[in-house]
Amino acid sequence: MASKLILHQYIDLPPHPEGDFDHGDVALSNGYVFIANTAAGAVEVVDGEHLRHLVTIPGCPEASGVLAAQEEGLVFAAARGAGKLLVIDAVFTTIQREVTVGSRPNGLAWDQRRKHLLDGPGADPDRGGSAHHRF
Amino acid sequence: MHSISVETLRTWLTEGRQVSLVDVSPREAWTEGAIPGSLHLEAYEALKARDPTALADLALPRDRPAVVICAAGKTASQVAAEQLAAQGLQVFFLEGGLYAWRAAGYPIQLYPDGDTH
Repeated sequence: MASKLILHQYIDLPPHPEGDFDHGDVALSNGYVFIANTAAGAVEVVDGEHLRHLVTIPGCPEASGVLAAQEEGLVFAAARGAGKLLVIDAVFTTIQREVTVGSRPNGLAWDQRRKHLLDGPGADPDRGGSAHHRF
Repeated sequence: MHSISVETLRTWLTEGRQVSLVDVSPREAWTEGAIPGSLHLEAYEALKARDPTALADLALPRDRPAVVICAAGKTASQVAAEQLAAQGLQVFFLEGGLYAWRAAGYPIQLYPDGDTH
């Protein structure tokens, strides 16, 4: 049975460069929504339960893939323009570490059983397949 | 309502994370051993009665998550967490409460004078 999504309201973000957003994901531990603000090179964090912007996490050039690892309380963000991945604490919204991957990471997938993060190159013609990173 | 395990809280405290600890357990439970750094509030009965003003005088920092603790992690802490979440705080109740914390062998603090913070 099809259901219809209905616009509830808008949530204002701080002033930022005009441009694209990319992936987003929800941390189920607190309802926070992490969104790649590609144009700003940042990850925006929105409180999905109280419908307000919380914080901008800078340092994510060409932010693209965003993915929550629920059991670990982590959010991964691909900084395509810097060839690195950010590992963000979902509760404290701080960057725990950065992992250099060398070539334009884009889409992300999380292997819960193996604790492996897979990053895909998107439309980068210079990169063949995905890469695995263990956490 | 969101919760965290005693293991997660222990990790946060060990790592020195900034977190507000609010203990709403009955005084008897609290005096048997509290989580170090927690603030005790005499609000247990009011929370059990779901008094919406039970935490009216509590002002917590908004730049850090709050964890609400009661003896067993059931009614009082969950009601308190609901009330604090309604204020826009990021709040969790502690699964299993003080009993689970102590059973795990984690550090406790005794307040000999029994003074409520």
